[in-house]
Amino acid sequence: MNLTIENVTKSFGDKKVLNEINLEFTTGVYGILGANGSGKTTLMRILASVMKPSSGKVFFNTQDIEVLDQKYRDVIGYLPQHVGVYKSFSTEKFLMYIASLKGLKKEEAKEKVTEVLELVGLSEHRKGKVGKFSGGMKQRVGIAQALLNDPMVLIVDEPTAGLDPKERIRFRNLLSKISTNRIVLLSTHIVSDIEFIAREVLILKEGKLVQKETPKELLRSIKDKVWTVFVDESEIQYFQSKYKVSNIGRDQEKFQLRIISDSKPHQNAQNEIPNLEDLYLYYFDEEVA
Amino acid sequence: MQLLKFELYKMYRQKIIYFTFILLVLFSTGFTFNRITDWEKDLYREWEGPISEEKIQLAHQGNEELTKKMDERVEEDGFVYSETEQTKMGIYETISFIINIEKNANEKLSKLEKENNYNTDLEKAMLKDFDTSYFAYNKGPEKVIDYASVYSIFLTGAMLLIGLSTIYTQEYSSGVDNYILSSKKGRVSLLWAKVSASLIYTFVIVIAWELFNLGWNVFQFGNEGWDTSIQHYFKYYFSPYSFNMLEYHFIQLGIHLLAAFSFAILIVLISSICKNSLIAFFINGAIFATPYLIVEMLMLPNGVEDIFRFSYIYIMNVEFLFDHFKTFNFFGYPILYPVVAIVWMVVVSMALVLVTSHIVRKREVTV
Amino acid sequence: MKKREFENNHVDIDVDKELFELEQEVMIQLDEYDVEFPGESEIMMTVDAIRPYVPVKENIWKTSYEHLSAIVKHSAYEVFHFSPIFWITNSLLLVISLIAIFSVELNPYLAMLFLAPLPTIAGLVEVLRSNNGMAELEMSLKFSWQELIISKLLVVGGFNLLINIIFTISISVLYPDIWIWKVTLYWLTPFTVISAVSLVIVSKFRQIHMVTGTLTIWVVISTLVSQTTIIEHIENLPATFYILVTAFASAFSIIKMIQIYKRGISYEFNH
Repeated sequence: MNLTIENVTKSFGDKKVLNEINLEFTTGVYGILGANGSGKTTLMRILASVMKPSSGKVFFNTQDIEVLDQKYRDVIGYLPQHVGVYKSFSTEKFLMYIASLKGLKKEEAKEKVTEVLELVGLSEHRKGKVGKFSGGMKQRVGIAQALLNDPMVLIVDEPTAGLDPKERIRFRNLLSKISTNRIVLLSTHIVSDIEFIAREVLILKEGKLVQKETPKELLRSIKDKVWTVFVDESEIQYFQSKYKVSNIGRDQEKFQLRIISDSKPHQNAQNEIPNLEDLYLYYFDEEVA
Repeated sequence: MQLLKFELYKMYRQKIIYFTFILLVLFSTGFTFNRITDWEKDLYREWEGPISEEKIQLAHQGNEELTKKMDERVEEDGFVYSETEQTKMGIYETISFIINIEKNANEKLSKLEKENNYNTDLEKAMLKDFDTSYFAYNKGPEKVIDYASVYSIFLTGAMLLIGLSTIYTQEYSSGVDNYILSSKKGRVSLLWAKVSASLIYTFVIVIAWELFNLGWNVFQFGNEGWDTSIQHYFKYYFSPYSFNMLEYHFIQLGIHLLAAFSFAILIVLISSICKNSLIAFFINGAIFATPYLIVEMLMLPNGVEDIFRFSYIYIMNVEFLFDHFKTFNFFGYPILYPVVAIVWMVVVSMALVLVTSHIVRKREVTV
Repeated sequence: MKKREFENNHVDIDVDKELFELEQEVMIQLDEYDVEFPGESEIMMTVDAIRPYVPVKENIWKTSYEHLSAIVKHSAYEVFHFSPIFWITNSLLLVISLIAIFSVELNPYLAMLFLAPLPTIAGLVEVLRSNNGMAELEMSLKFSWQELIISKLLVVGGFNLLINIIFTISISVLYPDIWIWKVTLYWLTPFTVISAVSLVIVSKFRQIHMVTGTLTIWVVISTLVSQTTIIEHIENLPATFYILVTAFASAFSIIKMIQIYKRGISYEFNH
C-alpha cells in the first residue's frame, strides 16, 4: 500500500500555499511538522480529498485518487482541524450518521460505533449531546468518526490541539496501536506528539517540503548544533539576540541557556543531545525570537 | 437508505416548520367560518341535473318575480332579500351563467371557422366535446380548488423555503462538511438522499395542507358537486378544458406537486452553492417571488408575461394554465400550456439535479 | 412525680420572695438613673468618626443613566461596523416590499402595518452574527456581551424607527388626506410586537433560521392577510386595541432588555 504525492501545488490567488510537493508514504505513522501557515492543513485537505490541488496529482496504489473517487474516500479517515458536530445530536446518533455517510450497513455501523467509542473512551457518554461536550471530548468524537470505516489511510490534522496531557498520551498510544497496516498522517506543531511514534517526520515550511527523515536521522542532522551554556542574567539578552535559545533554566546564581547554533556559541558551551523540539526550532525560529 | 433516514430526521427536527405551518394554515382560513345550511342545499337540489329548456324558463320566471318583489319592498320599507330569496337569486344567476358558458363556446366555435392558425383545429376539437350543462350545488369543490391554487402557493412556498434552505448550508456552518466531503457516500449518494428527503418533505407538506383544505372546506360547504364542470367556477369561465371539479382538482394537485418538487430541488442546489444560509434563503425567496412582482407590477405584453408565468410561483398556482385556451407553437404544432408546463418542470428538475451533482462532486472545503 | 412538683412549688415561693425584693430595688435604681445628653460637639465627633464607614448611597438613576449612555454611545460606534449585507438586504427588502405593496394597491395604512417591522427582522441577522464563535470573545471584552447585543439591537431598532418615520412623513405628503396618528399607530403596533419577538429570538433561540422563519412568516402572512377578509377585521379593530398591544409589547421589550442586560443570555444553555 502506498500513497504518492506528485508535484502538488496549491495556490489561492497569487499565494502559493503548497509548492511542488513530492512525497511517498507507506504504512506507518508520519508526522508532519510545520508552523502555522506552512501549508500543513492544505496538504491534509488535499489528501483527504476535500480540496483539489491546483496542479499535480495524488496516487493511491498507483491510481489517481480523483479517478478512484469514492473508492478512495472509502479507505480514508479524516479528522479535520476544526471538529464539526451537530450540536443537538447524541454521540451515538452522530457517529451512526457518519457511519451511514461512510456507507456502513446499519448492523455493522452499530458494532463499529460501540467499538470506536470504547477506543476513545466515550462509552459512557454515548447518549450525551455532542454540543455540550468539552473541546477534548469533541476531539475524541472526531477521532472516533475517522476510525469508523477502518481506514487504510488515516489523516489527522492537529488532533491533539484541544486535549489535556492525559488525553494526549492516550491518543498517542491509540495511534501507535492502530498504525500497523495503515498509513497514518498526523500534522502537528506539538513536537512531542510524534517524537516516539512517527516513523518519519516531514517538515513543511512556507509550502515547501524541507525534510523528510526518520526522527533519528533528523536528530542526527542537528547533532552538533545544540548547546548549553551557563550565563549571568545580564548576558541573556545578548545570547537571545544572536542565537536561537530554546530554553532558559535557572541554576542558582546562573542561568542555563539551551542554544541551537551551527557554531559553538561560547567557549564554555557544552554539546547536548538534541530532541525534536530543538529540531523544530532549528527550522522554525521566527516564533521564538 | 440510512442516509435518507438521517436527512429526514434532521429536516423534521426543525421545530420552526411546525410552528410556521400551523400559523400559516390558521391565517389561510381568513378567520371566517360559515357553515352551509341544509335548507340551502335543499334549494339547490330542486334544480340539480342537466339544465333543460324548461329549467331555464323557470329560472327566468323566478328571477323576474324576485326582482319585482324586491322593487316593491324597496318602496315599502327598504328591506331587501330574505336569506332564502338570496339563495334563490344565486341559483338563478348561476344558471344564466352556465347558459352563457355554452353560448360563449358556440360563438367562439363559429368565429374559429373563419380562422386558420396553427392551433385553430385543436381549439375547435376541444370546444366541440364540451358539456357544462349539469347543474348542482358545488360550493365545496369550488372552495377546495381555490384553496389549492391560491393559499397553496404561500403554504408550499414558505414551508419549502424555511425547511429546505439550510439543507446544505447547515453542513457548511457546522463544519461537518469536512467529514461529508471526505467520506465515501458524502458526495453523490448524500445528494440523492437529500433530494429524496426534500421531495418527501414537499409531498408531506402538500398532503398536509390538502387534508386541511378538504376538511375545512368540505365541512363548511359540503362535499357535493364534484362532477360539475370547472367552467361553473368563474375563474375557469373561459376554459376550454372539459374537466369536472374532481378531475381538475387532481390535475391541479399533480401540477402543483410537480412544480413544488422542482422548486425543492432548486433550493437544494442553491443551498449547496451558498456558504451562508441567509443568502441561500434570500436567493430562493427572490427566485420564487420575483416573477409575481414583475407580472403584477409591470404591464408586460402578453407574450413576455407568459414567459414569467412559467415560473415556480405561477405553475404552482396552476390557474393560468387552464383558464383560457393557450398553446405554445412548437414548429407549427400546438402544445397546450399544461403540457408545456409539465415538460418544462421535468426538464428543469433534471437539469437542476445534474448541475447539483456536478457541484457536490467538485465541491471543496473553504476556510 | 406529683410529690416532687409540690416540693418544687414550695421552693419557688421562697425564691419568688427574694426575687420580688430584688426587683423593687432595681426599679428604684432605674427610676433614678439618668443618661446624660451628649454635647453638640460630641455628637459631631461621633458622626465624623463614623462617616468613612457609611456606604455612599448609590444613585440608581444616575448609574443606570451612565450605563445607558455607554450603551447608546457604543451603538453609535456599532453603526459603522454593521456589515454591508445588513444595509443592502434592508434596502432591497424595503424597495421590493414598497413596490409590491403599491403594485397591489394596498391602502397606505396597511402598507405601513406590513412594512414596519421588516428592517428589525432583517437586522436580527446582524445581531446574531456574533454567534459564530465570537460570542465567547465578546463576553470577555470591556463592554459585556449583553451590552453589545443591546447596543446592536438599539441600532437595528433605531434604524427601523427612522425608516418608519421617513415613511410616515412621505406618506403624509403623498396622500394629503391621511391621518398621521392612524398611520403612526399602524406601524408602531407591529414594530413593537416584532421587536418583542426578536428579543425573545435573540435571548432564547439564537439561530439564523429563526430569523428566516420569522421573516417568511411575516411576509407570507401579510400577503395572505391582504388577500382575504382578515383585512377588514384588522381595519375594524378599535384604536384602543392597537394602543394596548403597543403598550404591552413595549413593556415586554423593556423588561426583556433589562433581563438580558442583568442576567445575560445563558450561553451554556443555547450551545
